[in-house]
Amino acid sequence: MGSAPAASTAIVLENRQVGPGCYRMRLENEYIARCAVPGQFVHVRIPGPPLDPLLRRPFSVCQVEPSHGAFLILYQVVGRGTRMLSTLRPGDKLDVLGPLGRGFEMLRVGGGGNEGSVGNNSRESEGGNGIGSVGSGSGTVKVALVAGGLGIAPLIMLSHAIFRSGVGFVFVVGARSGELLAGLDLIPRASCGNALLSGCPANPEPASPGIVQGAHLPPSGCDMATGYTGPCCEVQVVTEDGSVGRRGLVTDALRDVLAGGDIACAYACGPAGMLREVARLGEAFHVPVQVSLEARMACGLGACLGCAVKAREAATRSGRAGYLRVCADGPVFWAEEVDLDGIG
Amino acid sequence: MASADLAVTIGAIKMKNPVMAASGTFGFGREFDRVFDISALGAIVTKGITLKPRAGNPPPRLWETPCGLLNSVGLQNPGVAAFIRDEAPRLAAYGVPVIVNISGDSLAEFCELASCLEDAPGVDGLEVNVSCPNIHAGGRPFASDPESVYRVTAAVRRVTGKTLIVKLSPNVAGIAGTAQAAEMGGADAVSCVNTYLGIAIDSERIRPVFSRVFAGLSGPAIKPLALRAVWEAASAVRIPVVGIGGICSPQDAIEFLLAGASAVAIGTGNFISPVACLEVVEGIRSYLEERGIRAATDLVGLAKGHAGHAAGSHSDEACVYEPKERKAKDDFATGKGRSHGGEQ
Repeated sequence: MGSAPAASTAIVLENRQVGPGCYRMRLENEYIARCAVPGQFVHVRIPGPPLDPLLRRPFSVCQVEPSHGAFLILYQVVGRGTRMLSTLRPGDKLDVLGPLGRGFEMLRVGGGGNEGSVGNNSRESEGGNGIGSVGSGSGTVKVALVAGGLGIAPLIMLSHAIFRSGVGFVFVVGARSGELLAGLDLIPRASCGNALLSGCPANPEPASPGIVQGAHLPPSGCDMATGYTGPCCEVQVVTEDGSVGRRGLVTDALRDVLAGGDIACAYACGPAGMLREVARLGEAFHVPVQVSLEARMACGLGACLGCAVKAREAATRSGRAGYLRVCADGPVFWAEEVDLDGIG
Repeated sequence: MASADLAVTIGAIKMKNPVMAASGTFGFGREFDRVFDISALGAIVTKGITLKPRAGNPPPRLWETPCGLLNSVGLQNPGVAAFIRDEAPRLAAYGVPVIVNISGDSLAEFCELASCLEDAPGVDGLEVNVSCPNIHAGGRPFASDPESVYRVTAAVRRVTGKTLIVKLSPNVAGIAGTAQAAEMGGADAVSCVNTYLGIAIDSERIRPVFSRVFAGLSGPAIKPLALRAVWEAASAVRIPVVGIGGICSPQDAIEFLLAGASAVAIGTGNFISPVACLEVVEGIRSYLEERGIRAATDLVGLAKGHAGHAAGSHSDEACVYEPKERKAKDDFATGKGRSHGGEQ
């Protein structure tokens, strides 16, 4: 299951509001920065009056900086716990347990650039151990990443790992409105054909107004003019009110991406309704889908059985009947393993 | 001074310290063993085991309350055969006494469970969960009246030579009666308390949060109530009492010992800090050494010396329960023992 979780102290380096109720917190914790794999989470004890709120809060690791011993989380203020988090300042300390859970299964790129193990339902490679199995075939294999709201958090870390492995991606990012788009600037910017990125030699279109700061910067490493041949990293932005990017639902854009073919796997994180639709589209287009789920959680370690999600037949076949634990069997599952109708 | 003696004895189980991990919060040790060396515990009480595997309740299974946690997990477990095959040998290897929590819906089922576990390697004791519904009593929990507690204790006693602990429910009119019933039935100890029944209502969806409506409340919210239950039970019986209820810190544990508990178990506290048990062991040690108290056993019930008559004491507490088979009269000696808890 990857690195053993450890309860340790993390120091707040930065806690910045990046949208209405949306925050980005950068934390110093060498162990998590070194050990977390994409899709894993940290279980954060809320500092406040003693034991109130009682339980830890889980947050996906959004980005790691191993050289700085730091990592990022994104969060939205939705209750007392996150409200308290939002008041923390640089230098404050947090009790953080992690890294926890099973991460995303990475697309393996073999010598022929084929799909490798994706979609075979084998969960043999735990905690994202598949990462880094890279061959040739750069630029030909592509995956889709689908984020709804702050569901973008685990996918950002995943997008970096995918990029490093030489696989291209189309990152479809959705939110209710443009101001709720958080973390766009954290996506690898070695992009061609990116409608958002003005200054990209591959795409001279100006950026839409209202993009979070940083997203309009010329992408590092993107140099189509001089013959950039790395994997394509395309970002598509969709908002329900049309304030930024395409107007509509993130799943509308995903449907077009999948219809275009050549997508080997889709990774999704966001609201329950979005995940159900992504799973449906995956089935329709025969694209395997991995979803990152959230659930009310107590121990975070797999012991209390509180964060149950009903298993579907695909999981039962591998001997995991009944209920699965979001914290330990997930938070990332193949869509066909879990009953998505029962979540949210 | 010499280092304090933390050892305690419950039935035939010699514990190196008075701190157990409580049933249902620690799985079968596997998850927490990744976080710390669980051989430092006084004992492990396993997740509740039933004769047949149980899938557990549909989510949601958790609901956070002010300083508390409601749960409705529904005894999800792999069944006794899988436990003996897959978990017991590994548990035995930790070198910590293992107490298996058992749940049945009839006397016959409890006895069969106890028989199955009698020869299982590495099982040192049984904790009988009498809070589960008795199908032969219209679904009323065994725990809800002393007579049922006596019967189930006596029945299990006949088939097991292992240390027998009865876990009492607080959802009764008087815990002294059920504690005495367990003692007379042949229990080596009682543990108190199990969770308090509560309800959470979802005001958005206008319905109860939990599919089974009632759920069990645990955590610091119940600590004063549990302390009272331990005080009353310890005043009513001569066998040891294991104190449970909201223990998160060494201070909490010491309070339970002073109220009459011979040992403590930590449940929900494990979710707040996965190393809570270790912290409590070390905290008790410091408390003893700072005060020059020789042994943890010297703390047991110490606060009672300062209690007025109204709060009861060991010697003058009237017998509130006498088994039917030992007396002619049909009612209980004081009438205090009988209740209809209404547990489901």
